[in-house]
Amino acid sequence: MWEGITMGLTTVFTLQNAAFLMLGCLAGTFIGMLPGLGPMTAIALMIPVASTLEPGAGIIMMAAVYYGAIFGGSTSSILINAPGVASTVATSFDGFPMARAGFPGKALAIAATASFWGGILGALLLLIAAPYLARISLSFQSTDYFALMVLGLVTVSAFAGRDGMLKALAMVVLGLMLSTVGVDPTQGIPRFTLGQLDLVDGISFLLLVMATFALSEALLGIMRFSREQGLADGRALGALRLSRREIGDIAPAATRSSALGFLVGLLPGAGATIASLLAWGAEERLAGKAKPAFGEGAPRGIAAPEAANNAAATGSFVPLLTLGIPGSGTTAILLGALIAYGIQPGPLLYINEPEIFWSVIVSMWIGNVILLVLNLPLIPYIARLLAVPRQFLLPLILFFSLIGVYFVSFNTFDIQLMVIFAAAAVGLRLLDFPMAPMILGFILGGLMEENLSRAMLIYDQSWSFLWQRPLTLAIMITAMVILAGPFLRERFARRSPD
Amino acid sequence: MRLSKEQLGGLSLLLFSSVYCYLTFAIPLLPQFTDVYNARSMPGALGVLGIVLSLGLLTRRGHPAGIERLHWVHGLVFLLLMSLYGLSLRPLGFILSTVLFLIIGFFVLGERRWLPMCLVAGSVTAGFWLLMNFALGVYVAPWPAGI
Amino acid sequence: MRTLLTALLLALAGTAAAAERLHFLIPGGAGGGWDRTARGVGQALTESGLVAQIRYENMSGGGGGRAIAHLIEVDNPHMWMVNSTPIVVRSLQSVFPQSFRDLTPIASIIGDYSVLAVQRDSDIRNLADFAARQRAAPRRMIIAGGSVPGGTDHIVAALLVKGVGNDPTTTKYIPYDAGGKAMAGLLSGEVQLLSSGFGEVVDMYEQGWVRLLCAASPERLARAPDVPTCNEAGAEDVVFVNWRGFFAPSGVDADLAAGYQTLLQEMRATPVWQAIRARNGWVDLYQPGEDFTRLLERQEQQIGTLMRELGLL
Repeated sequence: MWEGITMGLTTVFTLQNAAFLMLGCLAGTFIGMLPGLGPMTAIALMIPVASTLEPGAGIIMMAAVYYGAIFGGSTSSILINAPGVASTVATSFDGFPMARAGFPGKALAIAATASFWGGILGALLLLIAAPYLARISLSFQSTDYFALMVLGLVTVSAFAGRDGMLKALAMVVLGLMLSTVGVDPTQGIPRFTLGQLDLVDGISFLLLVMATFALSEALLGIMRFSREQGLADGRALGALRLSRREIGDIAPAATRSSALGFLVGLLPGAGATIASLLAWGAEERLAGKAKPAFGEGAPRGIAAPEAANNAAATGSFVPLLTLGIPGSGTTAILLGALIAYGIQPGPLLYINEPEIFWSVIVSMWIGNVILLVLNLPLIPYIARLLAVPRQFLLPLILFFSLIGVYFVSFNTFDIQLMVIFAAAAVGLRLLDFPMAPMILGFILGGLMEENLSRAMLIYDQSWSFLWQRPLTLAIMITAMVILAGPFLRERFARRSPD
Repeated sequence: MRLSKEQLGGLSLLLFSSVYCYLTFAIPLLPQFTDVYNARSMPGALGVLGIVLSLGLLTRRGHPAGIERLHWVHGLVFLLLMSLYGLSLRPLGFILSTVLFLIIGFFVLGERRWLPMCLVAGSVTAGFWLLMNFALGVYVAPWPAGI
Repeated sequence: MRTLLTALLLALAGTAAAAERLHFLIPGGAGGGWDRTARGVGQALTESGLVAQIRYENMSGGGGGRAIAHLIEVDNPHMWMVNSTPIVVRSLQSVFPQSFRDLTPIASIIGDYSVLAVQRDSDIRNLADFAARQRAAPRRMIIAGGSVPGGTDHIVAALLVKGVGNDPTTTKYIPYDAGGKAMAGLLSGEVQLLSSGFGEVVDMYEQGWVRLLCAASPERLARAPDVPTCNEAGAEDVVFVNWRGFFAPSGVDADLAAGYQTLLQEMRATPVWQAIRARNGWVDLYQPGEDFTRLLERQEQQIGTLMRELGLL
């Protein structure tokens, strides 16, 4: 392992790479801070820059963009209650009240420190878990991958709770349906292309994300817009420092949440959003009646989701690096960027390109340090961006989202497709249907069908692989238990009234 | 009887799934492949699943859907504006179409000060184009073809 | 007004009209194989001072058909389009109506020969072994590849089955969506063989994870001198290369086309290009003008025949 870390350090620690790391952190924070634009968008927008670099430098920069954007998202959650992405929604529960109470600087400092802690602990766990899993993952066959996808999809809906489960499942299926557009994986037959040449290659993931997240967010902002609406002013942020007592207060919560976040991040499909909401909920229950109450500006209410979402973001690198399965939207974008470099994450990455493998891990540490030491002091200046009046900001966000997709494909058809998806997403969001399960259905759907069709070909069109391979069977049983979990718990609770 | 949010969503999903199912039957199958698992298998299963889930949603009564008051017109105008932007990007070139898109967007949201509008739209557009073209080597035609 | 705009355009472009200016059209999105080839070649051309300025335009859609149509429609003699073997395959499959005949082939620049690989401890020792087993139990000889059915890896797999004297329609080919995934499939033991470009397996080969049964090249590969060519190993006339090269619009005059070929020829000798090529693991395959056209025609005939036999056309 130590050779690995040394290898990673020597790759990352060149002057040039350190510069890209800083540039990435800054750009990520900047983009992530814009309402509606999160890490996915930030990385996507940086892909053209990164593709002009060597793979090592490019990956380091994208990792920095990733962390920067997560932090930037927290900043806008805290300062203007406009979470850039779902994974920082939980941060706004306590962050915005604290900022409104006159301590925006402190709220930001808590968020930064907790993120740092979550990122560092997460990277440590990644360091321990990944090489081990990489060795096992060599024996994973298509049938096992198929079972893992089923597990991932089931997890998404299970976390939605009994009430939201039906909606979440419906959105998963919608995502799966969208993933079947384009050439089918077995015989190369175009499906659901409606005679459009532009749909033959399928719907791009980036496009779907930008339309259903960034565009729909901005459109909702436009439809709710009124000029009298209070806007973030450029008021002073206050001190960005934390006292030792405050650090002592949030440290246990941040540590617990990091571990929770990392574990959730490991599951394909769960990811940072669920991790941060779970961590906030868990800490709320632990805190009991402590003041200030959760939801009214509790420091731990900021620290828990921030630590959890960073640790989960790190955790989701485990399935990405070892199995090539993107566990979240952001890792799906990263996967695309890696493939563009000719790097195929998966069981062979550790064997073929250990320097990439290690430099990703090491750059996570460095990225977190840079974020805390260099980025945080710059926040007051970057935050001025948020004072831009909304009537300017909203059209600009629409423009950046559209052009971010256009500058990857250079096909104006994509813009029309985005308009359609954005309109549908606005409608569904107004009916309280969640977007995240749809995105996951879309990511995992393509992989699921690809692996299923391959398994069927290899096993001569028989479903026998489901019980012939013990690993596949074990994963499938786990998935069934998770799916049935909420119902079982309910029955159990009914039998033993306390 | 007014529909709940679940039911409204379920209804639209039912519609979508039905069309999806119908289109599944339009997927051509190659005669030389006699496999059990083919291009229609997954879509077929998904279509049925979609219909079942949307029927499930339709049985959810709940509160009648009360959707907040929104500026629907603004939403529609912006959808149209984005679509027009997509159509104009190639014929008008990047700079003209983007400046127009931004200025009309600002105007719709109630901004009437022309100087800031033009400054913001102009500087963002030019800055973005210069960055893409020089720093990143990504070229898009800035002006209408033929100039 | 028009002159004013032109002046403005030139000012925006930074340089006054340069002596030599090229426009590279890339049929896929940023970061793909085509994109990297075009930008790599472009970087070598500009940094070595052979060309003053190169503009890149990505235009994806329709499996590359949109860019081909654009190249023909704009008809700018200074516009080059990068492409590769799929232009032959897809025009045979009528993904788009045009073919390389509607363009001026400038030259191929890099290429990757196909190989057939097995796991290091596989009991398939050589190609003859494979031939015997494939004849006896074709359903048990599963060949993986990183391209869609009907794509290059599938074609090579079927060419090999046919080359060793078996029925190509019995080829059991399993598609993966990338070469690296197909390699992982081979190592996990779910497939027995892998059809792939040499460039994609060379690292694993040199580290001893896989053995190569044969290389579909006219001569033995410099980096794998112990591996027989497929012809030597008993598969007659199985030569297959996945090239990448450049096209100009049709009707470019002969002098200009010859000039372009010289340009690429000179670029090959530059240290910049050699560094870029080494970094990406690309193998030199410079075949200008007529040679390139012949390669295209041969490939079209080879692939067309086989696809008709397999019932894929």
